[in-house]
Amino acid sequence: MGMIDISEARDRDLVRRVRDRDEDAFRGLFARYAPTAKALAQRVVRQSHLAEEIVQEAFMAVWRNPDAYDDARGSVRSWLMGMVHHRAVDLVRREEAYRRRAEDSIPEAMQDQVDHADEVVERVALPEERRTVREALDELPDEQRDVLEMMYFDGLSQSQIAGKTGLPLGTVKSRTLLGMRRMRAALEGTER
Amino acid sequence: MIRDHDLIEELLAVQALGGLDGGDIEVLARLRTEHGFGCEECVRLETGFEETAGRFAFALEPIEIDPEMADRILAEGVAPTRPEPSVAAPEVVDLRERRGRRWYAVAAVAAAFALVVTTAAIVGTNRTTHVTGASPTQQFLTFEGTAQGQVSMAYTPGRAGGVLWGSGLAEPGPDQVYEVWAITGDQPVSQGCVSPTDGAISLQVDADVGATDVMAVTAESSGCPAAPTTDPIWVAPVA
Repeated sequence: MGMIDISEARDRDLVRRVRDRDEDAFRGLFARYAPTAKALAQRVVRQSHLAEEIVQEAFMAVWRNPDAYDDARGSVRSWLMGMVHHRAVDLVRREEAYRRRAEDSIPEAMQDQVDHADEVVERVALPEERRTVREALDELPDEQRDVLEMMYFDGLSQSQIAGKTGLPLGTVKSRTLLGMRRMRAALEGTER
Repeated sequence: MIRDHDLIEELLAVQALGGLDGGDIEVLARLRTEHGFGCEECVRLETGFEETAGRFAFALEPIEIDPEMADRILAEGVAPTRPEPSVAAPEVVDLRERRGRRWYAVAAVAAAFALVVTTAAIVGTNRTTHVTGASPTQQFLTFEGTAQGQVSMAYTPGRAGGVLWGSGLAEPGPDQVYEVWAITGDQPVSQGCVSPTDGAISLQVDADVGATDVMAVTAESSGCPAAPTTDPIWVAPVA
């Protein structure tokens, strides 16, 4: 077992204590993952205040219903990020017209500022996990990484990616599958 | 039985990244139904891809978040639902009572409907049907409702879990989502929220559907409240 195993064991203990309505445990989980959750939400929705709303909704769901976590289905961190991602993608799909208007109204330089200007919180950031995932993404062939990133980080559907890139829908799906198989293989040895 | 998982694996990979849309949502739901909810390979593929996708987030630099948010959640998180705007505090009790009656009424209607369904079954028609090509124990529900679109779900009696899907649905409204409920007696339990993509939805539910009285769908705020705040749009009594 490596450091990530210990990390996951600690997460599961925090969730167990949240089930017992332990507020300190909730704060611990929040401090550990809310900054990454915000980074994810903000990457998808491109709006800091909307990202904070999404994070608040997701962690509210954790506090209200911690039993929703099923340890047979994966790690606590993937469960949390999955909740955040689903909410962010839902928002993007609902508010696409709004998002286009917002992006049109913000100069490109400002959009970069929205993405990167906030303070980085290294002390709670699971730097080893970040390095591992980045390396795995970097190892992917460009065409697979591009599709995965458009789908996950930009919140685009398979059809939207096909429309945007001009690729046949089947190619989008097959590249997604190949990329996900590689990512899974690369990350599997390092999970939990 | 050995089953082909090539197509289901491809669709699960896309689903894990949030990219599934169009007819593929229904294709995946039907494949999951055909394979059965206990299909170990399907579960292995799904959980593996979900775990992988969840870790993508850690490629990003974390961003500082309002440190008081955790306290706000703890302070607010006790209430089962968001307060409804424009409802004055003294009326909240009445509203809850009305809501309770309304959901009790849903359960009562469902029970009555189930009686009708049972009667209909006797004469050869039933709204709960077996799924063609699926395990003979799997059941198929068709939701009744006045809103646009079709909503269906499949489940296996005696087991937790099922898949709900819909097509041709309208957007639920600004800052709203569809929320799915498993209702036993007058107690609705949320099974999750979902927004349509090109009019289609798909949702894996955790409830033991066969042990509930009725499944229902409402339109709710995007916060996905723990108790329903609106009347059901679609209802499916569980026969």
